[in-house]
Amino acid sequence: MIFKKLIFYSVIFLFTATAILNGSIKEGKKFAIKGGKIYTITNGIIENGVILIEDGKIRSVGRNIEIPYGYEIIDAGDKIILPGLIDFTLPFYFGSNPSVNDEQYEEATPRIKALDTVDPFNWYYKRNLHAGITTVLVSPGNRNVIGGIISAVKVVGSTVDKMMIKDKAGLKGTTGMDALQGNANARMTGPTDIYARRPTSRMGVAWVWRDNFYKTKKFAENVNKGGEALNGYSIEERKNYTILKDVLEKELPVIINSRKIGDLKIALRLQDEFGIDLILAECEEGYKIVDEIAQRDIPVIIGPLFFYPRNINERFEGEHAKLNNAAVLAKAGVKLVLRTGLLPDSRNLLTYAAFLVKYGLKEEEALKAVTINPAEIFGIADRVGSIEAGKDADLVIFNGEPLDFLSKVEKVFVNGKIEFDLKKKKE
Amino acid sequence: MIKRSIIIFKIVIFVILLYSVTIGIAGEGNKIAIKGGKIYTITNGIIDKGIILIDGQKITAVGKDIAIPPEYKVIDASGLMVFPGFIDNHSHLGGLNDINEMVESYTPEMLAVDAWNLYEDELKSALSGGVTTIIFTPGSGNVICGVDCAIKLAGKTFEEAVISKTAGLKFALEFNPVRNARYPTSKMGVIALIEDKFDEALLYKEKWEVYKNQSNGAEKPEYDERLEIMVKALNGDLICRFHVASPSDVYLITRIVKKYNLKANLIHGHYAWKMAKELAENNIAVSCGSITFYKDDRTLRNAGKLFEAGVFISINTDAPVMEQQYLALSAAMVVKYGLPEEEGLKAITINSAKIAGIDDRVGSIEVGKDADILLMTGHPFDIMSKVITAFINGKIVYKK
Repeated sequence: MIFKKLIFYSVIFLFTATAILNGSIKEGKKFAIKGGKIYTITNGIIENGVILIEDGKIRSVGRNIEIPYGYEIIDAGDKIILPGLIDFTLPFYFGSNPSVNDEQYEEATPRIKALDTVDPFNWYYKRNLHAGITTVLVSPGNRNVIGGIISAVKVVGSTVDKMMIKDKAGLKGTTGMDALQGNANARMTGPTDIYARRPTSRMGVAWVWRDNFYKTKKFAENVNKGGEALNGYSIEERKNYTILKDVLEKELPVIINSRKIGDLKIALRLQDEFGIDLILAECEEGYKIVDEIAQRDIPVIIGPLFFYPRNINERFEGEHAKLNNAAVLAKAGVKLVLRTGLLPDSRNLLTYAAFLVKYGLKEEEALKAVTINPAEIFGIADRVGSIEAGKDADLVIFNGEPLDFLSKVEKVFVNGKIEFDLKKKKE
Repeated sequence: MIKRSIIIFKIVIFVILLYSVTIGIAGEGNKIAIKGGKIYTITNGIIDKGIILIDGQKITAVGKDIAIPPEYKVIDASGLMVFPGFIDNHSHLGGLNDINEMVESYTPEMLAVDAWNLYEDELKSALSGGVTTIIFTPGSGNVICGVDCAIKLAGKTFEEAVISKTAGLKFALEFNPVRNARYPTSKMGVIALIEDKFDEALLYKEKWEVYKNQSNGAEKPEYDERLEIMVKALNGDLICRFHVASPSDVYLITRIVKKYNLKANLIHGHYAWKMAKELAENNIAVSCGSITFYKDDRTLRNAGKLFEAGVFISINTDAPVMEQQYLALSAAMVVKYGLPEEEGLKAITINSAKIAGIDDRVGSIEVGKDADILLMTGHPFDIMSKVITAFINGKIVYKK
C-alpha cells in the first residue's frame, strides 16, 4: 500500500518537475513587452499594449492581450516602442580599401554585389544598433552608370549569411554626373589610360543605359533560342545581362541616383522606353517635377541631407536643393524613404528625420520613411518594417519621442534577442 | 715542344675526368649513418639515441636498435637533436623582382618556377635557420596570381631542386590587387573576378566533357591554358591558396570555397580565428605569418585558437618580409601564445608538406623519404639553438 502511494506521488512529482523544467528552458525564447506606447507604423499607436514574442518572431500585438503562462514579462512603463529602423547606405568605411564602394573599371557592372563588402566585424554595424537601426540596405556607390546589386542585411550576426535578409533587393545605378567623375577623353589623359573612356557627358550616361538594355533584349532572345546562340557571350556578359533581364522583366527594381531635374528626366525617359520598375534616389530637385513622379507612382529615396555636391566635373549641382523637398513630395502622395547614405553616418538617421519634420513633413510620414517604406520597396516587408504579428521581433525602446533629439535608445531587440541595453552599457 | 704540351694537357684532362667519375660513383654510393642523437621524427614520436641510415638520397632506416653495416660512414650526433628539414609554406626567397606579372589581374598561367633564381648568400642564411624546402609563390599583385612551386634549397641541377611545379594556385584579396589602374578597383570586383573565372572554367570543363563523350558531331573546344589551370583547381588537383588577412575577406573565401567545393589554404589570415568554426567545417587550412605583421597579442594567439577549433595549421615567414632563417622563431612565437609545441613543429614540417602535396618526399624522418635532416644543438624553439649540419638529399649542404 505504502509502495503504491510512493509510486503515485513520485509520478506526480516527475510530471510537475518536467513541466517546470520545460517552462524554464523555453522561457528565454518567449517574452512579452508590456505597457508603453507602441508605434506599430502600419496600425497606428497602441497605448499600454502588449507585444508577445516567441522564437524571434512577433506572435501578437494589441491592447487586451492576455500574457500566457511561461512568458517572461518586460515592463516598458511609459516608454515608446518602435520597430527596428532601416537605413540605406554605401558600404563605406575608413582605413580599408581605397575604393571599396565602386568597381570603376567599367561603366556597367550589374553583376557586382555590394554584399561582398559587408564585414560582420565592422563596428559601424554595432554602432548603428545603438541608434536603433537594425536593418541596413547595402548598395554600391555612384561612380558607375550601372553600379551593382543592393542587398538587405541585419546589423547583427557573426557571418554575412546570418546577417542577410535578401541578397538581391535591387539594382543600383545613376543618371547623374557622378558616373563621369574621373573619366576623361583621350585628348586629356592619353589613350591608354583606363579612364580615357565614355561617358564624359550626360548623353553618354544615358547611352550606356540604353546600350545595355538593347543588348539585354538581344541576349534574352538568344536565351530563348538556347544552345549555340549563347556561345558568343563571355561569362561576365552572361551574368550582367541575366541581371538586366530581371530588370526588364520587372523582377528587380532599379534605384537611379540623380539630383538635377535633367538627370531625373533621363531616368523617367528610361522608364518610358524600357518599362523598368524605377525608384529615384537623392532626387534633390524632385519638387520641380513632383506631379510627374506622383503620377507614375515612383518611390523616392531622400538623402543625404547635409551634403550637397557643388562642383562635379564643372557642372554645378545642389544649388537648387531644398529642405522641404521631402514634404512637397509626400504631400503629393509619393512614397518616401529616408537614408543617411554612408555607413559611418547611419546613426544620425532619426536626426535627419526630425530635420525633415522641421521643414514640413508629417511625423507619421517621417517614421514610415525609416521603417515600412524601405521594407516595402525593397521587398522585405514580410520580415521587417513594422510591429505586426508574424514579423521578426526587431524592436527599439526609446525613453521619449523618437524624433526628439534628446530621446535615447534604451533597449534594442533583433530577432527577439536583446542586442543592446543602455543600462548594461553604463555599468 | 708543342706536341709535348698537348700530351700533358691531355693527361691532365684525363686525370680530371677520372677524378670526377670516381667522385660521382662515391656520390652514388653515398651511405651515411647518423648515430646517437635525439631524433624528432615528427610523425612517429621522439627516438632518444637513435640511428638514421641514409642510402643515396633516401632514408632507409630509422630506429633505436639498428645494426650499422661496415660500409656506412658514421656521423656521431650524440648530444645533438635531429629534425627533418623545415619547410616554409609561403616564401618569395630567390625571386622578388620577378614574382608579379601585373598588366592583367588574372594570370593563372604564370609559373612561379620560372621566376626562381637563388643567390648563394640567401641560400646560406636560409639553411642556417634549418629551412631546406620552400613553397615558392608568386606575389599578391594580381587577383589570380599564378602557380606555386615547391623547391629545395640545394641541388646541383634545377630538376634536383624542384619537388613540385604545381604546389598550389595563388589568389590575392585585400588591397594588394586593387591599387592599380585596371580591373578590378574594388573588393566587389575582386570577388566578381574570382567567381567569373571559376564559372567560366565550369563552362569550359562541360564543353570538353560533351566533346569527349560524343564520338562525332560536337565541335572541338578551343584549348585555353588559363582555364585548364582553373579546371585543375576545380577538380581538387591544385590547392587554392588565398592571400587574406581580415575576417571579412576570410568569410568571402569560405563562401567561394563552399560554392565551388575547392581545396583551400589561407595564407596570412591574421584575424582568421574570428571565423575558426567555419574554416574547420570547410577543411580550410591556414598558414599563419609572417609574425612581423602581428600588431598585438590577439594575432599571436591566432594559430593556437585556430588549432583548438580544429583547423589545420602551418607557419610561414613570407620571406623576404621576414628573413627566411627565422621560420623556427616564428613557430616559437605562436607556441608561446598558445599553440602546442608538438603542433608548432608540425606546422613547419609535415603540415606544410601536406598542404603542398609533397609529404611523400619531405616533412618527417621516415623510411623512404628524402634525407633532408638537421643536426641541432638544441630545440629549434630555444633561441640559443644552432644548426650544426644540414643534409639535403643525403648530402651535407651546410656546416657550422
